[in-house]
Amino acid sequence: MSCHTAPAGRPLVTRPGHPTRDGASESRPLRVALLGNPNVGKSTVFNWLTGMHQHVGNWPGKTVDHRVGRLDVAGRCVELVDLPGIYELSPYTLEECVAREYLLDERPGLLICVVDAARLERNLYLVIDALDLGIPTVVALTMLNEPRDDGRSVDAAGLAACLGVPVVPMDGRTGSGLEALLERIAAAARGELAPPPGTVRLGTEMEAAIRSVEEVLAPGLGLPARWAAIKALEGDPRILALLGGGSQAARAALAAFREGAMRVADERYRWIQSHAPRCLTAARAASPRRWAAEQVDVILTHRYAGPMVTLLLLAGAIWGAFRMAAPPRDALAWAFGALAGLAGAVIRPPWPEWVRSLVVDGVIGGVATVAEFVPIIGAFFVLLGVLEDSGYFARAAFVLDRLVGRFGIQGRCGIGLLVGLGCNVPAVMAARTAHDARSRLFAMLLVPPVICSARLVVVGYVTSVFFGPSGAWVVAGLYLTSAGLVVGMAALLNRTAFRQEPEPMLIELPPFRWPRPKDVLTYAWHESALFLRRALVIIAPMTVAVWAASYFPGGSIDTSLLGRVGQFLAPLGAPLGLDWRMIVALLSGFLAKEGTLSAIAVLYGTTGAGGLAGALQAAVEVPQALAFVTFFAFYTPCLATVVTIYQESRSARSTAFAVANSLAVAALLAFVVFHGARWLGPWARTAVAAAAGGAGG
Amino acid sequence: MGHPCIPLHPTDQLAQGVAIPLARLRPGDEATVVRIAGGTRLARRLSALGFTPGVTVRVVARPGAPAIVSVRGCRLGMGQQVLERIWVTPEQ
Repeated sequence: MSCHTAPAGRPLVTRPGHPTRDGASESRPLRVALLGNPNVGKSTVFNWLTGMHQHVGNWPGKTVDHRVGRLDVAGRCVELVDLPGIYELSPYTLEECVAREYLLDERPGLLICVVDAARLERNLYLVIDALDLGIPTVVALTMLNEPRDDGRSVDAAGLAACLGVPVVPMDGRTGSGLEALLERIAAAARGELAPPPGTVRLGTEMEAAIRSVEEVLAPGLGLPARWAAIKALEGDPRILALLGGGSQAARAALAAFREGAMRVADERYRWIQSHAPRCLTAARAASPRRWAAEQVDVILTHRYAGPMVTLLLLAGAIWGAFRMAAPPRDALAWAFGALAGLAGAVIRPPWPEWVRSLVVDGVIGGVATVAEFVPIIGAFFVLLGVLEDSGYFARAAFVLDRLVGRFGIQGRCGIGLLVGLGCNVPAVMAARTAHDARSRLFAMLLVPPVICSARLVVVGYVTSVFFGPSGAWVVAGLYLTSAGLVVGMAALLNRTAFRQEPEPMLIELPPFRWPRPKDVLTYAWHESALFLRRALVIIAPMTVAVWAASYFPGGSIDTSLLGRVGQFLAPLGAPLGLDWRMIVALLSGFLAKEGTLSAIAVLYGTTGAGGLAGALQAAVEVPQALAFVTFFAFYTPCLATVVTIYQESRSARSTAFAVANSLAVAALLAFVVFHGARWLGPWARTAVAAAAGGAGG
Repeated sequence: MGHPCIPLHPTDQLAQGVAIPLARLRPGDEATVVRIAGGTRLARRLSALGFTPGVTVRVVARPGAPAIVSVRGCRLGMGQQVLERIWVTPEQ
């Protein structure tokens, strides 16, 4: 499949010091897959092997990160695929399906199982599962320092003898062991690495059952026989479906075997328990580091302190991400401003005025809109990367699950919603941290009502114009409404489209580890690049189109097509208290919410006494202003968010729902606020004046 | 919570060797897994994560209904529903 190959023309890494056969590169790349549990340092191994020569996208039709890298080992081109982190090769989570389908359909030439020595027993479970696939396998043993610090000794050769496959000890921080791993890849490229010899045998009764199923399996299945037999015994629905037309004998053999999945797991862990002590000695005393880590967990997840610590840490991190993004964002804005100024100076008569506007406001403005998003998205992915790699993400998810779980929102989804306070785009992209398709879509659909920072800028300005310092109460009210909308929407979605029960909470709390800056930056870089690629092809052209609509035929927004659309829609806006200029500003705000302010400035004029604020106060009644900020806070998410929802969900229906739903909610709220404010007007004015007086005094 | 008919803690009334759900344990308690109730996806996932008969588990923290449970050198955050599915015999 073409989607599994990196773009052609990418320079290949050549690592010197390896035995080359003829120096001749074979045309077909050797496919190598990286498999392992989550948080075992798989990405670190991937980054060590590929450097920046990697490509991040989605698996076809799935919202699962698909990372492919290329490198050259001993003159042979190697295509390295980073499979998602999973616990077993069952078909239940999206990640498992993706990993399993790749291993079965693409049959890579080499499988590198990354194993965390600190959690050896549990990690070996997946290795044993994967060995039965019959693909040549190498085990990369990482995090060796942790058991060693606890006084336990690790015997890589002993593990290799038990499993029957080579074991390469590695250190993710220093990259030691990398050369040995490359040697193994080179051996696999030369065809010198045999499939696993099958030294891992389960109990006698189990082996007899496996053999009997193996014998009666339909031969044309095209699956590794032993692996398929075990999966059939486990009651794997996909394998059983393939066996559907199988023989009577096969079905009889399977029917006789009850609670297969648990018995297989039991047998595998028995094998692990009897062999693991040979490779990893038991701790002589309780490990002080382990004790300390557990105490940290006790505090972080404490009944009362936990939620406070979590919210403070996440709020601080989001704020930090924003501060981090601000300087490059300002620099980009300055650069694009300078470019626009230059273009404006160069394009002079005899060029018509519209050409100047097209270049300055349309093209440069459009690219600038996209480009200014990139630092924010990059910063948020740095934040997510740090949270994920340090192991804190799982703790925050665990704590938030207790807070928002009662509303049918999973903890992981809650973190995405907090990120949405900064920017909705990475929040939608963060939905991919959920484990099943249902939770992903659910998480994405809850993001739009979260008021992002761009909306806060506009809301903050308008409320300060009309209410002065007490405008903060209006803003607080909007945030409360936002929280209410998220909870209400979650309840509504849980009762309608998502009637399927959410997964009960079961999350691993991985060991705390210092994130490796290079891994975090690589991750953020590729995710931002993914956004930029998508955005430039859709958002920039759309910006030009909207520019055209706001310029032609009159040459100014109030006489333009967009202005006319606004006037045409004015009767619809009237019950909500929105005049045609507000509608035009809202339409242009679809591109990027902060753009609404510049449209308002053009439409209401800034030349009168008191500038824009004076013009607004003169032209707009207080209930109208309230209705406007309410509508603005919740109406359709910005173009970048809509595009991202579509790209991530691949569902036009869900995207349309997100847009239509927010429009309907915004209209309803604006209607209520407008009429409520008019009705309560005289009373509210006294109250606001009193509050302002109180604040002033 | 404190209803007299519902023993909240193994040491209260239950004799040793009687299986109780993991949800009844307190922080610091250790127990041996006896079985996983039900034969569905969740039971399967729990087995793969290491909850097999005979394995020792320990409750690290219990902030309300969910708990942090240590099994085979890994810590897992588990909700009430999950804790109810794992039957264990507490160790003294």
